[in-house]
This record gives sequence, structure tokens and C-alpha cells, in this order.
Amino acid sequence: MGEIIGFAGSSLAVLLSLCILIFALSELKIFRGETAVLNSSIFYSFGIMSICLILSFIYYNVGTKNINTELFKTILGKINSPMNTLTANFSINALKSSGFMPLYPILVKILGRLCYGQYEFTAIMLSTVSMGMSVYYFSLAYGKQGWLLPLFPLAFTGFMALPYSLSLLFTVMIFYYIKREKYAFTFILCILLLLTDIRGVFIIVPMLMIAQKKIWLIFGALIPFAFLFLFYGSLPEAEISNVLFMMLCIGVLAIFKDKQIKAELIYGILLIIAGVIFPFMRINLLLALPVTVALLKIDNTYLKYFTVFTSCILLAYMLISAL
Amino acid sequence: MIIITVIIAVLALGYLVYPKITLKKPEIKYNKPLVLISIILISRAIYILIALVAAKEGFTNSFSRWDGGHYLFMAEHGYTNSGTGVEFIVFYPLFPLLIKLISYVVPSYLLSAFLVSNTSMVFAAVYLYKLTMLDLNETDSIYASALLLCFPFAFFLSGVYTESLFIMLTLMCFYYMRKQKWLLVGIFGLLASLSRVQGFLLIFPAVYEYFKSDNKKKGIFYCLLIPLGFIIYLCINKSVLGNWFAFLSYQRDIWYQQPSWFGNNLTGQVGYIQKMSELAYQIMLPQLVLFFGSMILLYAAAKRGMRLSYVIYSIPYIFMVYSASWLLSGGRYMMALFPIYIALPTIIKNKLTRITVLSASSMLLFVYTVLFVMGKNIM
Repeated sequence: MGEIIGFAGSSLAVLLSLCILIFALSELKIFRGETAVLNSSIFYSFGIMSICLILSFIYYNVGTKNINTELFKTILGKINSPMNTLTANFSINALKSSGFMPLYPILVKILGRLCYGQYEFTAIMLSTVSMGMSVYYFSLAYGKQGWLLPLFPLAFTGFMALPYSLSLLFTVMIFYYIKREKYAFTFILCILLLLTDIRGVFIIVPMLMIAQKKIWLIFGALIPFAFLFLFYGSLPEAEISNVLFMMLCIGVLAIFKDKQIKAELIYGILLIIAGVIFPFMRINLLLALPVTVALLKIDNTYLKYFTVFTSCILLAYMLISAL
Repeated sequence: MIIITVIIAVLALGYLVYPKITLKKPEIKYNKPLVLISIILISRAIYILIALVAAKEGFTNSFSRWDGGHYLFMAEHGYTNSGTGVEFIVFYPLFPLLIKLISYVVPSYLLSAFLVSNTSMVFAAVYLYKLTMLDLNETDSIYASALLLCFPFAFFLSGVYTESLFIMLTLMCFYYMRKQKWLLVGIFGLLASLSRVQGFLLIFPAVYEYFKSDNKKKGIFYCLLIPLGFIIYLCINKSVLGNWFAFLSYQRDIWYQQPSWFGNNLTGQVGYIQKMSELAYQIMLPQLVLFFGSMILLYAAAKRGMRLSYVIYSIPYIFMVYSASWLLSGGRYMMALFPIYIALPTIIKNKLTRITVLSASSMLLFVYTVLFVMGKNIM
């Protein structure tokens, strides 16, 4: 009970202070945007995170007489033990052996210092806030339907101490800013994306499709790629992904094969192909962007919400099976 | 007998603040400053009455329990570098200094401390009224001041505690911030940071208001006076004990305080409440309620157009208060957070709800005052 109150109080305080910061920045005219939409996106992603937590909490305590609150603390730590050991004992060698890209652990380490060493809490908050901001930028880029983004079946990994929601945020921001023709900013975002997640390499293709004459943008992706080989010596390894789930994603994308080839869809297809060919590039949250864009294109309302419903069920199923 | 007197007084308080409901004659205009003064007098009269009757260790001792005695010791002996009183390095210098200065005029230290804190309390109420008048109407401003004086822990305002001085100085600092008189902002901010550690947080709203204002000549340099109070305190540490951060080791070894994450603090407090100890209902439960309540209150008020600089001051203040590993005086510290008194009239516009909130607060004030003068663990 105490842990739940402590976690809820800390996260509420962090979220509210973040919202106040957004208010202040908009009043001082430093941040120009729809502050109300941004705040509600962050609170929405926090709500989905709470539902995921409650689901896993119920799953752990079904059939037991005494409610085990110790488990509540370790639920999020169970999946991502490499990241936990990484943030607790941060070093270059630990980073290399864990197989994660360096930006997210470094951010968690810096922010966690400010939180008196609460690295797990900081990581979860960083992920949730990135998820909320991706919802915000998705709403800006593709109309007001950003709420579909955290219902992607793998979305629960975006609320845990894993770097996927941060890389999703960078991807959504790249697609938003490249539409507004802010190429220099996109260049920086590309570097940040590649430093967060290796799969971001495929962003080159849709970027060149949209901004055809800006060939120099490709260097934005090549710089971290060179860094990757210098730093790790080779590419990090991981396990084979869930094939059934990939089939579903390919099916959703295949519906729009005939209509119009969009840059986002090409990006999604590249991600899936890479996931099939290279085991270390298994499907992750980055696929949420093309799949959700594809969902928005469905004309039939029943089909659309049936897909969303199936997605929610899959989300719950995958969360429990991952535990 | 006392209870009947108190109930009559509380009813009179509600009667004075909302004469329109009971009289049903809205055209009668009351002198609002007079109402403010009567609220101050009545709330203090209740306190003195309770202290006279219920005090376990005598009437005068009930004003200077726990930290109050330490402040009196400091006024008499100053900072010491050995023997008894060396652990009082953790207290800030302005309040004992003022007691010492006044004590040249009046015969006793206790009386001079009483004078300092009560005068500050009156000025705090007046400045809260003036500050609220900049944004809201007259009734709201009176209500804000009444909330300050009827806060469940408001008896600390009249005792030998630095809180009333601190509230007065922060309110003055904020008032002149709104009036864009940057020299006065710097001076009062400096004094506030000399009376409590949280005083230097005034730099954040000052910088925010500076960048928001039109009158910008040299203001930022005066704003930089505010953290100077904390630097002076560090210099005192160096000159008395030979170490810039000597207060940290005394906080850890003698007062059992060290910086920690406030989530752990909340977790520990819930643990105490589950054990059902006596300490829980006097200390832990109010602290827990105040944490969540003030956070939500401030956010709701910010969305309804309360000045954002108040919230920018409050959030680091709450973080700082709840970062102590062994928090016992949370109620007293949160009382010094004046934006919650402005947030309530910003949110609540219904008169009946307002009266309910004020009455509940007054009842709690009565209960905690009795517990305090009876020698319970309310610090």
C-alpha cells in the first residue's frame, strides 16, 4: 500500500510540475504550441500506463490470499533486467554488453541523479512522458487521432524502463518536422534517433522520399551508424520476435498496397522485413507509427474500431504473456 | 464552557465573513479591513483562551515548545561552536536576531519573540489581502486571509516560530514583484532566505515575473540578491564551525534529516499510518493529505487563471519540504506555502462550500491547538 501511494504521489508530482513547466514556457512565449493538447496527451499516456500496471498487478495477485505489494515494485523490473543493471552500475563495458544504444541509459543516469538515485522511477517517467509527447506530435502531424498510438499491441513496452518510446517520439517528430520543411532540426533529430534505437536507420528511405533534393540529410543517419561500429565493434544481438504478431502487422499494411504508397508504410515494411531477416532487429514499438497511420486510412468505421478493439485485446494479452 | 465559547466564536467568524447570507441585506456595506482585523483578533483570542485553560506546562511555555525554545536559546547566546547549542546551527539567523534586537526594549526574550511573530502575522494577513486584491475581488481577498489565520496549524503563527516572519517576507516579495519594484523584491527576498532555507526559491518566480514584465531596467541584478541570504548563512557556518556545509552533518547526526526522494518519504508515512500509532494521526496523516491536496489544488488553480509565478514558487517548495528523510513538521512548513490560500478562492466560487471549508479548517485548528498546548507531538 505504501509503495503504491509513494509511486503514485511521486509520479503525480512529476507530471503536474511538467504541466506547470509547459504552461510557464507558453506564457513566456518560448514554447509555441497547443499546451492543452500536450498536457492532456501526457495525462492520457499516464492513464494507459496505470491500466497496464493494474492489469499486471491483478495478474500477479490472482489466487493469492495476501496481496503482495513487493511484486508491484518489481513488475516493471522483471522484463528489463539488462536496463536495470545498466542504470545501477553504469559503465562503458556494461553499456556494450547490454546491447542498448547509449542515449537513453545516459539520460536516465543524469535525471536519476537528480531524483536521489531513483533510476527505475526516472526511467518509467521518462518513457511515459515520451509516449505522451509522441501522442501530441502524432496529433499535430496526422489530425487529432493520436490517442490510437498507445493502443498498439506492443505499447506496454513504451511505459517501462526501455528506450522504445523515446525512439518513437523522435520518429514521430521527424515525420512532423519534415512535413513543415525544417530540415536542419530533422537532421539533429535523426542523430538522436539513431543514438536511441538501431532500427532508426530505416528512416533514411521515407526521408528521401519526402525531401528528395535534400540528399545531405542521409549523413544525419550515417554519423551514428559509423559511431555504432566504432563503439560496439559489431551489431548487438537479441532474440527472435513473435512471428504471429508480425503477420498481423503485415496484414494491416497490405490492405493499403493498392491505394497509395506512403513513406510511412514503406518505413513500416522495411522494419518488418528487417525483423524477419535479422534476429537482433526484432519488431518493436517503432512499428506503432506506420500501423497507426494505416489505421487512420480505413474508411469503414466498423472495421476501424474492430481493429482498435483487437489491438487492445492483443495489448493486454502480450503484456501478460511478457510477464 | 470553553467549547461553547469556541463554537460561538467560530460561528461569529463565519458570520463576519459572509454577512450577506445571514442578513439577507446585500446593500449593507461592511468595512472590509475592519472585518480582517476582527478575524485576526478572534482567532488569536481563541488560541490564548485555549492556552490559558488547557496548557499542561503553564501558559507561557505553551508558546515556545519544541523549536521555539531553541530559537529563544539562540536569541540569548547566538551561534555557539561547542557545548550545548552547537546543534542549533541548522536554524536560520533572522528570527533570533530580531528577538535579540527587540529584547533591548522589552524586558523578556519570550515577550519580544511573541511581539515579532504576532506583528509579522498581522502584516502577513494584510499583505495576503493586498496581493489577492490584484487578481480577485474584495470578498475573495478577505477569504484568503481568513484561510491563513484558520489553517489547522495556524497556532504556530503566534508562537515562537519563524514561520510568520517567513510568510510575511515572502508575501511582501511577491507583492512588490507584481508591482515591478525590483529593489524591494531583492531586499525582502534576501531577508526571506535569511529566515528559512526555502527562501531562496523566490529566485524562480522573480526571474519568471521579470521576463514577463515590461519594466525591465536592472531588475535582474536586484533579483540576484535573493540567493545571497543562503550564501550569508553558509558564511556563518564557515565562521562558527569552520566548514561551509557544517549544517549538513548536524542535520544528519543530531536531527536525523538528510535529503531523500520524496516518494520514499510518502511510502514511510503510509507505513506509520498502517501501524495506527498515535504519531500517525498527529503528524503523518496531515502531511500526506497536504501533499496530495496542495498539488491538485495548485494545478486546478493554475488552469483557472491563477498567476503562474505562485505555482512556480510552490512546486519546488513542496519538493524541498518532502525531501527530508524524517519529516515531522510538514504541517508547519506547508502552512507557510501561501499560494494555497489564493488557490482556494480561485477555484471555489460557491458560498456554502467556502463556509464549509473555512469551518472545517477552524475545527481542525481548534483540535490541533488543544493537542499542541497539551504537550502532544505536534511540532
